[in-house]
Amino acid sequence: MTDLSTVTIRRQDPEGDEDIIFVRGFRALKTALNDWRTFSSDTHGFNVVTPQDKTRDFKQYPFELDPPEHTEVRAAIDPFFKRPLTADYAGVIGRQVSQAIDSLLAAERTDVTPEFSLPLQSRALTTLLGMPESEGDLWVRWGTNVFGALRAGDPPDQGRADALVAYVTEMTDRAAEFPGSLFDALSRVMVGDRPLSRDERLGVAHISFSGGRDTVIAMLTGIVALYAKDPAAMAAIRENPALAMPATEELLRVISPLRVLARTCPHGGQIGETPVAPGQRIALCYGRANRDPAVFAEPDAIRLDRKPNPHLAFGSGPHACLGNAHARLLARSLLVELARRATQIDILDAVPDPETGTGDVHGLRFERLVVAAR
Amino acid sequence: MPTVRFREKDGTIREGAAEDGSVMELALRLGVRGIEGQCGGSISCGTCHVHVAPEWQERAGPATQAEIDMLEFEPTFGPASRLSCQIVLTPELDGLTVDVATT
Repeated sequence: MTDLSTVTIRRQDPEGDEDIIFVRGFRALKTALNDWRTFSSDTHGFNVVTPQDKTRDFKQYPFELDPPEHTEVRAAIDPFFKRPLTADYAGVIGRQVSQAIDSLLAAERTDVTPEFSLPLQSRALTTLLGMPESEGDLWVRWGTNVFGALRAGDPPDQGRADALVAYVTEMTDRAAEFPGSLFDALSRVMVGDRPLSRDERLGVAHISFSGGRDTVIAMLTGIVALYAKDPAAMAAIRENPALAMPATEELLRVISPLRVLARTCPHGGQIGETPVAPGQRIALCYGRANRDPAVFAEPDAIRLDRKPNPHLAFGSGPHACLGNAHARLLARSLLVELARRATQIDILDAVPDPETGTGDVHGLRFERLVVAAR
Repeated sequence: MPTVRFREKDGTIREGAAEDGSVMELALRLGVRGIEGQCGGSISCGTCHVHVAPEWQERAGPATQAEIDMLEFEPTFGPASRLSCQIVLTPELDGLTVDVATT
């Protein structure tokens, strides 16, 4: 029987083409995510399909490390990213969501990604990073798809990449001016008996911006799209707000905000039935694995109360998304509040996201989505 | 009303009772450290992993296949592992003792 869990795709590159094994089956993907000895994250810029090695001269920490070094750095910064589990934090996010909905309902038409999802993502990120809310205005001006290469084949945009490096460098130097912020926390946390190095501080800050940006934006746009396309879903959550919790997981599965990441196989190995050569890379197709019919019955159907729902939207294993508590809270908050306040959302214009080789196109990802909400 | 004893990673014991609901929901009400219950019981997150004390394993029941699938790669996964969101409180579980096993 043919192994359908992987497919090899040639990535064209002026410096030499590369055959990458795209891991699409749920079981194969989950195994790869957890087998860090075989499928390493210890690279500089190669954990995304289009390499970012030339876009910054430091690693993304702890993302571009393997255990045990990874484990120590991650444990040191983990408490900062658990703050979304507190009631105070949820209250701030609730207010930011509510203000974004004010604007959505007041406008005659809203281009959802740039005019709703991006500003809300940026405001909410100020909460996660403990920065003044006004700082979000600057981040909004960076636009969408800023850091590139979340989609297979997207080239990194050097100008925008430089802007992010310049920003995290400046803020790392000015950390003391922002008490309680991520930058401040990184200047204080200890890994064992040593502080984080400057590169580690830059690397953690860098991935905090790049990892949580286009992913969260895709999730927020997808939620608005769901309510526009399926008013019954909006009514169901309005009637039973507790449904927002499993619905969040189902939307994470269906939208799969992070489309693809990569790992490197330094010594060779095997994924599913496919041999992997020493030095070869594999691509992790989260969206495709999240619709594996062997795991998810009727995978293309959106069931707000789906259970069990062991989706891999936040990954699995040592590198599982550090921002997941924040992302979940934001999604739940938007699902509940938008259902409570909006009665109808009409789609005025829609251009679906194109297929990009990862096989995850479905009805809730848009290149452009314009709506009128009331 | 069944009472549950939670042992946190550092040995701290937290104890509380609830009429119904899951062991995870009770843990959240008690503020048990290490139990996050982020997905609310959809078996999506694995953040309510506990080890059931040996004398309670029969009454609490074994992990379902869905729980095993969620937890099998966790460093602390073992025969005593359960997702506490999948243990429903009943009078028979009065006195249940679990160790927080999230990593």
